[in-house]
Amino acid sequence: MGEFLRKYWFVSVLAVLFIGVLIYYVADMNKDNVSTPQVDGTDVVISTTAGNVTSSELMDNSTVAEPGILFSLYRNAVTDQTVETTSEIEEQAKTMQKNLESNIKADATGKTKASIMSQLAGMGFSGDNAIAEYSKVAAKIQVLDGNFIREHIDLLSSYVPEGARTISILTMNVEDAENLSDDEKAKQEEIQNALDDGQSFGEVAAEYSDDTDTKDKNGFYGYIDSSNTALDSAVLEKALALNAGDTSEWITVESSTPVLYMVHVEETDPAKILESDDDTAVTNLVNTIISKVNGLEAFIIQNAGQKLNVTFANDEIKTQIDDYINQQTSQLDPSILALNASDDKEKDKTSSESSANSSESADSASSQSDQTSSTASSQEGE
Amino acid sequence: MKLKKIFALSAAALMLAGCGNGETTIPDGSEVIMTVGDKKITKGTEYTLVKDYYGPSMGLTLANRLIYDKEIGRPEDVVQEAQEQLDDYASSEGFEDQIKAIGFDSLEDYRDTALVPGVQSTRLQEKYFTDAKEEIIQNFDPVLAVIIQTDSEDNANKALEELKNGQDAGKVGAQYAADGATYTGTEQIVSTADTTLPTTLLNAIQDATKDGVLDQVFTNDTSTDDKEYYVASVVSMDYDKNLKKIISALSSNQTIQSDCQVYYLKKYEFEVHDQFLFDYYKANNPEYLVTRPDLAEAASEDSSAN
Repeated sequence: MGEFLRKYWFVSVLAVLFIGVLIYYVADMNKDNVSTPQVDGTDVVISTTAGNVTSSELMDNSTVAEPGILFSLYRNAVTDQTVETTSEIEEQAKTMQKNLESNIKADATGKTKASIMSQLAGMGFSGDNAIAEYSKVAAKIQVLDGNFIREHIDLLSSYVPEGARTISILTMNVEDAENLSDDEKAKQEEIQNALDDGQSFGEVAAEYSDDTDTKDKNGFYGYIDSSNTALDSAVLEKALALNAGDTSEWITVESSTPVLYMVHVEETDPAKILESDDDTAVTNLVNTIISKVNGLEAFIIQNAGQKLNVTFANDEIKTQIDDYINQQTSQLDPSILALNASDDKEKDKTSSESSANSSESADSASSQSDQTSSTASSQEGE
Repeated sequence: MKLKKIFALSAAALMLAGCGNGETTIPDGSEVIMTVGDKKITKGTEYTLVKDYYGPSMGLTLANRLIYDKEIGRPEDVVQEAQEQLDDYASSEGFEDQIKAIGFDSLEDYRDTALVPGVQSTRLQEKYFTDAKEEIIQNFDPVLAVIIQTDSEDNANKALEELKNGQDAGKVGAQYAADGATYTGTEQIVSTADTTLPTTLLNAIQDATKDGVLDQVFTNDTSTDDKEYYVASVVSMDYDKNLKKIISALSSNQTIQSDCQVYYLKKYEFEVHDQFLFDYYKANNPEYLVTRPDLAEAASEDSSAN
């Protein structure tokens, strides 16, 4: 050994240094890693000298959180199975994922990450893929909601916000709104002549508007309703007063640099807005309706779930999810609630398993609580 | 050859570094609870979500219950107090259904699982004022004193003179305290947690070496016309004698509540064995990770640096 060290002393010194650094590195890498002991075959989550908290105890004492978590799992699975993953959905999901990840990275304390990961768990996502999975399902829920609202807009018309419409705008930046320069007057005249000559508002906006956000979109501003806060109040007031196809006079907006606005109402029919090519306008209307109608999203999930094969391990799980949905949808209009009941009847007529469960399905038409479970029961009855 | 082995082992150790999972599971985790289309959802997935969402608060609650049982136990008077609370709640219609809906088996289950720990928690906090006496004196320096707040220096001087002559502080306060004053000559606990008092007055009360009137008029440091004047007398610096009043004055203080939590977590060597929960506490409450005091210190240094 002595001879070996004499011969290779330099290499030996290097080896000792390397091992020292390595030990430090390994210890440092693992210092925040926890080990999980077991008691009677169950993982210990927390230990104290007064006793342990096991994973089973944690689960048994979390009954308050359980219905919400079960519903989230059900919702995510139903959404994922119902809406196909398209390239558009993937794109949206990637954007959402990037935003969340950059929020997490921006906070070195780890608080944002801990908070987001805990919230995602409440929504049914955990582990390394939680953010990616959440982003994908969130994008799919958007599609699911949009499809349902588009299909049933006649029943939801009372929930469409006051003044819902899509508009386009044309703006002109001026020095002094009260005393326009000759050039400014000339431009105004050109615009008016173009409109009078029958050019569409979009074409004129594309040519003359000073608004950089909308100029490239033929002046298309998007969806607004009476709760809009982004537009100047004078412009909003005028936009809400016009009928579809109408164009306003010039509206003066006084700010640090005065701006003259012309506003054109594109569409006021919610059904037509939902068929619009502009995804943002559609999404805005869908989200506005969803946020306005308590329980609609849960109802849409229930509606989609009825079209899938769903089975539950036991009645307790089924009841917890049903009760959760019923609680969420209790404020919905009866005409909407009847949709799931009628969908369910339809399913029973066509389903090969219907004969064994027809009476239960009939009951479920009058009771919301059986909506989710009817499909499950038909599967369990096999 | 030996060197080769050493390097190989080192490389393996490097690869294994940081690979630990540390996420807890439940024994029947592979059991399928729901199938939607071709997607199977297991009890293990549900557990992970419940743990990650609800675990940080519930884990601490369950650990606290163990500590309460050790420190306070379940003597008859604790159960009796919980029962009285239950009787009060249960008189409202539908209460039993409500507690059953959130997972309690019966009223008795609710009493023993939810109300008794609540009573124990209050008792433990009272006990903390005895168990951590030195710590509380060091951090809060609670003293029983009377303070009279006036709106003129003249009134403050008159009040001081009467206090020195041995007049009753309450009567002096009634005569000279400003309208709507917070301090009117009533005996109260004064501690470092009092932020409304002038610093000079607070320091004088806490630096007093014996009970008695402080021979000085104090003012708040303000350049406005709303100057306030204070006179004070130290009634008692005896912590044990003032204990009930100290508990009453300081038990709702958030720092005390947090210190109390950490004190008993330390005493019972609270340790987290789930990685998600550990990371959560590390980010939000590093002081709870009492076996890793370096984390709370680092967080404290970070917050003072910012």
